[in-house]
Amino acid sequence: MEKEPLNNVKNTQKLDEPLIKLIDLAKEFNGQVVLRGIDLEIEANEFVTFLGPSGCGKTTTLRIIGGFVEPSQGDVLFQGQSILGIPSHKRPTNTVFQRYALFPHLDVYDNVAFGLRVKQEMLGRFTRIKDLKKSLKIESNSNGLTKSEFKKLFQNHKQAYLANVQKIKDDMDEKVRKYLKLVGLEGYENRRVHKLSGGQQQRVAIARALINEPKVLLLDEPLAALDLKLRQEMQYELKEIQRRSGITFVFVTHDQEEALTMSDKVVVMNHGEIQQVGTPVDIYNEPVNKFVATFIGESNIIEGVMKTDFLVHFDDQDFKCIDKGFALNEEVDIVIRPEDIDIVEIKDGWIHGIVTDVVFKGVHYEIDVKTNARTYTIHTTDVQPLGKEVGLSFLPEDIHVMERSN
Amino acid sequence: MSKHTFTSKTFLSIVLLLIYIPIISLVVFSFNDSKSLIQFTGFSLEWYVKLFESGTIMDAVFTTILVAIISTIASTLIGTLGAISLTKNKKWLREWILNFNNIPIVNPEIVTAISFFVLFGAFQIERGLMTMIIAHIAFSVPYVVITVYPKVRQMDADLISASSDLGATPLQTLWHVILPQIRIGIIAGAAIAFTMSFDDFVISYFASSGSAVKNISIYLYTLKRGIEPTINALSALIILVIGMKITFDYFKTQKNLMEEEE
Amino acid sequence: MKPFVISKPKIKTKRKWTFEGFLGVPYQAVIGFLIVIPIVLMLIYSFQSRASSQTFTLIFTLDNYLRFINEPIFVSLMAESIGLAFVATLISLLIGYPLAYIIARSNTKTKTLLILLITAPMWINMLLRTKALEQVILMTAPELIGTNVAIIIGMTYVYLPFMVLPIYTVLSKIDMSLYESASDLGANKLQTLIKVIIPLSISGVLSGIMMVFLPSATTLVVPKYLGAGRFLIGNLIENAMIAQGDFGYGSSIALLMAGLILIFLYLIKKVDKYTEGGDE
Repeated sequence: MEKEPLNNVKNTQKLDEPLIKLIDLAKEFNGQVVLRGIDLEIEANEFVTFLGPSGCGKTTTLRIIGGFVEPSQGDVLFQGQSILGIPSHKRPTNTVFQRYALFPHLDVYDNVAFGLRVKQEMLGRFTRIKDLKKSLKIESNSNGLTKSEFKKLFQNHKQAYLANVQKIKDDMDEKVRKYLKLVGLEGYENRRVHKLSGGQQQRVAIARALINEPKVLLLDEPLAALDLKLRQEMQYELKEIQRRSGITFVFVTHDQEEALTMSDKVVVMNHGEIQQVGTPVDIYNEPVNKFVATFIGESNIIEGVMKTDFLVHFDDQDFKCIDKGFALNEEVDIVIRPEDIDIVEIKDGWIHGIVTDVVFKGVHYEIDVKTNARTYTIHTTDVQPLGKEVGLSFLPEDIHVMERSN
Repeated sequence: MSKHTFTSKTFLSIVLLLIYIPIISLVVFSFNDSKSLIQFTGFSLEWYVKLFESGTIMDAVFTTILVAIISTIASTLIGTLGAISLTKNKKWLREWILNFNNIPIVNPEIVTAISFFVLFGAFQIERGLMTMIIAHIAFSVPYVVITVYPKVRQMDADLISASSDLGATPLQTLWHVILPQIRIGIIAGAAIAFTMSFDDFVISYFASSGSAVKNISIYLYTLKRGIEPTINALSALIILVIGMKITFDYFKTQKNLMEEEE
Repeated sequence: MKPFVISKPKIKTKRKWTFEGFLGVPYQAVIGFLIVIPIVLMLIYSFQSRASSQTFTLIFTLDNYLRFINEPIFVSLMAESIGLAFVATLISLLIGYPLAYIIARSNTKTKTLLILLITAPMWINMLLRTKALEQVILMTAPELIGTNVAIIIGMTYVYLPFMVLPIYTVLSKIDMSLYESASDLGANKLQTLIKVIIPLSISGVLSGIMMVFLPSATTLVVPKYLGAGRFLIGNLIENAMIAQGDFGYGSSIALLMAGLILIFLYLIKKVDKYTEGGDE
């Protein structure tokens, strides 16, 4: 594997500036440093996932983008402009919260319509009938209209105004129904939110956010409270919605499978730092360090020495591999995925050992084989009897060499 | 678990009886057809008529109601917004403010009353209706705050983030999200403020002393002549209103309990 | 992990704080001007002699506080008020505790009804209630009016609900299973009461005592109606402030009362901590 610098994301879009750019973000809470210098670029129409264990800083980063938390240091650029001083209600983002945060005193319809109504309220402030009358009166005084002419003028304006208001109302209604349909909740308009199931509440939250057609949708572990089947369904649906709407999704989760399923780009975080950025395939196949390797998928982690390019030494043997770029005899970490190891006859294997544990996992068996140096975990669909002496074999491209972590 | 012994039932009944006999007698004598408060001679509604004809009493009633309404509205407003702002304050500031907030609540009324007397005296503010209202607002606000503040704290903070996220300005968030959520606390706080103001004596007395302004309590306290049953009539009416409120409360609690059991 | 230092200072967002700031201003003004400043004024006045408060000079003196020691009338008045309030509080406790206990042990339906009945009189104007009591006593035993007995009865009558409520609140929070586990361990009802219930309810008792004793000691109304115009601490303060305009003296008495409250509150807090700590 090429020793790539972190955060080297391939630049494939046409715009000059990325949609969102995080520059050296850091955050301190009560003496604890939660983020340590985050640099990242997020493109338009991208599904980006922040992945990491609890406390790694992923939610904090999301909240900084959304404007709910101020960073202690650094900047957030939106299309090249800093949005740091802008409060959350003015940012082009909408958020789907982990516990949904639906307004309990409003029904489904009012929840979804909230963003539109609030905006309408702001805009509509200066066109109310009284102000209309006032402004017309001033106009008419300077134009010298008679009282009846003024009345007629006013009536016309009033009609137009009311018609406009009605149109806005109808448009809004159409939109609400459209988005409810989009998330599969047609007919639920008048339900009280506390009577809905978790999955339904989640969809209301999604509709409520999407209806404002933001440039960026932030999702804070939105599927965490759902059961497995429902979660998988929602993962698929969310991916579909993102694809069709073209909105950039910034998704936070600690579930690596979720991240791999949905994302265009995965940002792996730990202890407030970005460990690796890449596509799901890259992250999985070429983890850059031990943390990423163990966090994503199952791994066998082995300490070894990189003798020279394409040759690595571990478990008292030299193995051909496909990585280069390390120093001579540099100490490295090696990862081999359990599904890449084959259990073979002793004579056909690079290493040999004894089967010590066999667990049926449904999709495969998880088999532990104890060798001289360590115990390997293997995923295979063929069962092996306990205690059998076996050989282990794997291809050079299955050996992933990474920088040694302390 | 109705495991009342005979002794406890008797005890309970006696105590309740002792508590209510004066109140019942008050009501009974309001219908007396003579002036006596000791001997019941016959049934009559004359005292009720005289009640409404009495200028001084009606003035006092009017003052009481006026002060109660104004101070309730003001203190509920100030207290509710204050409670909301408390959540945004730094911890140390919040603790100090809450400690000060509790001073009028724990102090004996006379201490609070004196403090107002001293305040108005020191700044040479003439005592009257205005000072009475100010004093009422001042002692009601803390009660509103301790009623509303817990409700604000209980509120899901994410709701405010969500509202802001959807584009609502802080003012819109206050109006559309925060206030509806704490509505129950606000109403409770207003009810307490109103009752405390309506029934208040000591503070009102000191806050308006020297002026002609009197609420019902001050009127009773400063009554020079002997008491007439018109007072009883007034009491009976007040007791009637309170009785209705209590009954309403009782059925409401029963309803809530039954809903909880569902 | 490499040590991470935040180098640049925070970027200040300007507007966000002002809205919430405005919300709190009226409230803080009320606290500052109508609660804190009056007390400060009271403190200052209490250390001023009468002369200096009229000439607006600040000469500190302890005269007002020393009056208690110097003038026998005031000492005896104080003693009387405290004594009467003490007896009234005791009686309230003796009646109120069992009352609270019985109500707390009732079933839910009766409980609500009983508590409402006990607390309903609190909503009725205190003067009206005292007047009503006066009328009843005049009817039945007119010779009592003006005696200590009448005053004690008056204090107890008016402030009893204030004793019942806090004790009831504490008792009703006691888990029912405590009764069961106590009897399970062999205690009969009386033992349960003494060893388990009473210690847990001490904080409620202290609250009740505080809420009966202090108002009783400082009441203006009870001595006037049931004491046939007798003078107690409250009336003393009333006289000092209103009739004589002696701000200093009135303030000093009031502050002493406030001081008593603080002592009570401190005791209650300590007891709470104790019962919380031992209550594993």
